[in-house]
Amino acid sequence: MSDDLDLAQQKRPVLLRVDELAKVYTVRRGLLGRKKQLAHALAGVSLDLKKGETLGVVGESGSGKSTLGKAIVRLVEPTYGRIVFDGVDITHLPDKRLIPFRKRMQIVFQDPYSSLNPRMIVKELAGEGLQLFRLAKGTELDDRVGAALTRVGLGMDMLDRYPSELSGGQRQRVAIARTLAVEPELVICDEPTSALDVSVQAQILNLLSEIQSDSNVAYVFISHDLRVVELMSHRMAVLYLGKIVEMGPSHDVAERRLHPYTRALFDASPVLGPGVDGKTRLLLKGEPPSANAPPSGCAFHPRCPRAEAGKCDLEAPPLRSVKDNLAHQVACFFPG
Amino acid sequence: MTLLAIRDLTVSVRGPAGKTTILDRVGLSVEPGGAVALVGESGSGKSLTAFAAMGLLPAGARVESGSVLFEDKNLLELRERELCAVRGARLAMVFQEPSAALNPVYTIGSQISEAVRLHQSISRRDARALAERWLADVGMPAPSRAYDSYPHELSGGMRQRALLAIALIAGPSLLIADEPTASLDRTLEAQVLELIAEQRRKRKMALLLVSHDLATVSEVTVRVVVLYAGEVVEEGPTASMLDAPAHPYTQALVASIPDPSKHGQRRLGQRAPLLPVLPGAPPRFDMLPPGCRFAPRCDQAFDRCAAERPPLYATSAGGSVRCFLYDTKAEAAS
Repeated sequence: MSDDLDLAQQKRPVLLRVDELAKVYTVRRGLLGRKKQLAHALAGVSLDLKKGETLGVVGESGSGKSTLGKAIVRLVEPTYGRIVFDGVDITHLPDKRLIPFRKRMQIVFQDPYSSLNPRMIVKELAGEGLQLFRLAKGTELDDRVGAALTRVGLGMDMLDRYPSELSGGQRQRVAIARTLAVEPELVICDEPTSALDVSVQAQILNLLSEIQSDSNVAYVFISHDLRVVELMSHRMAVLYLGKIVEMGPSHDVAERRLHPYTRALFDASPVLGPGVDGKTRLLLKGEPPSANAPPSGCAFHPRCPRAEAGKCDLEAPPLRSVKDNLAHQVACFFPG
Repeated sequence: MTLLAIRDLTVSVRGPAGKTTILDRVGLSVEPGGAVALVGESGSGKSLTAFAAMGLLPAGARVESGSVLFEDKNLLELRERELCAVRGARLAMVFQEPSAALNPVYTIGSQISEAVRLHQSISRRDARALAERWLADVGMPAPSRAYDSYPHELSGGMRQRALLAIALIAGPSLLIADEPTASLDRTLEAQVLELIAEQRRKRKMALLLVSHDLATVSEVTVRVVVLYAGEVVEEGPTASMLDAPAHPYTQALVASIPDPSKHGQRRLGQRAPLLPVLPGAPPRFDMLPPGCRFAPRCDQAFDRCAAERPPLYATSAGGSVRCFLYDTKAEAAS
């Protein structure tokens, strides 16, 4: 990367800054729910996002990646930490004052079968945001809805259809048109293609890339599919039990896989072609531990092949920049 | 001897608008100890093929013609009682959604023991010992405790392991797995596929893996059958299917798998690389095109494709493909 480019990238304004964001749930157990347990769905996540940038977030189920996405747009109230959007601390803004920010931050969910109201037709679904934020009415509303639907590749013959009459890909297009119509600056994409076939996935991913290059919208792209995240993101964060264990330029993270968990995730991702003999893969043993009883020290140590007793099980490694690349951070005592 | 041979299987469903043919002369075969993947997108008929092979067609679906030969018996002609002796014992199946396939009111143990005791006479105690051994074998942590657990007390990955133990315990010669990892994380998916591959090698069992994901099946199967709109469009060795797919549909499928290794680090302001896209959607079964079913979406289609239905032609890789581009006779004539 040339120095000029480096500099140009640093100069881009920061759109979103998240500081030590955490979400703790209280789980009641036992007879009459008298035993209380705390579950740390998010255990202190810090990151920032520039205008027009895509940050990919990967991790297994239960890693907190969806909670992170929802907490950023305050669909989930964070327990502690700070969310700063375009210079304004929105962490504790009351609902009324949050409305202008709701327009600027949107979210697209995984399952277009459950995220669209089955009783509304496409026209109403796509225009709901515009009406809600009082951005348009009358013919202007129709025009903007039409433009948004055309943008996502849906014809005008779709206007009066119900979601049940659409295919999975078409529904996801409606969901994208709906967020696009209000011209957001940040869109959280929470597994936007996980429920779709590969050929439809390609269409939707292309659409998201085109929209970004037209409008300079920033994405937080959440997925369990590493290939998709690497392709779509400028930077990538790997989440394990509510904490970032590695973050950096996507290509760098994918190439170097410094954290053993990152390595395991990439190794679990199928390679094209018969790879049965190439047995250098690091397959994870066991399942992710539960967030209500996180292991001591480094949360990954019980599944980690590099863990050293007396170190990893006692002390939690901090997220630190790698020596030769400040943009690349890893939380591991034995990276590499 | 071929272990499973599905020949010319045609299945229709009866709806409000009359009869619609869903599977059209589908054929595939699995050799003893072999590993075949059946790949297709939603609505291609892949699950229906697997269910038909098990004699488990949903209500309203009917076999119009064809045969399903398993160990030289035509399963479509067996009576329910005879079928039960085969199903579970020689031919086992794991389903997509482990929580739906397990009975929520019985313990894992009683469901595994049931699978054994149905097909062999064995005491309760021996059945338990056997079941626990199997649970350990499929990588279940604390098998004895899992034996006494109810399905809801286990995680998705553990439920899929339990289901696998139930399927394998009677020592089937063929395992049909319908998207066995669809509800699991990638890390668990890798574990479960590895487990299936290991069991297959250990027990010389054959595998028919149904999936929508070519990349996933490539690691554990030797041959692939690709289904499009209810018919087989390509069949061949897995490696050549990924390196040099013959059918334009398979080519499009392989091309649409994101491959970030082809691209470098993306800079700010630089758009994400566009993936090759297959335009349009599969045809509806009541409005199939008269010629090749893929022709309306195919960028290599020519006159003949719209008029005539292509048969299967042999490929140089030792497979077959349903596409006029491979009609060597026509080429020689022109």
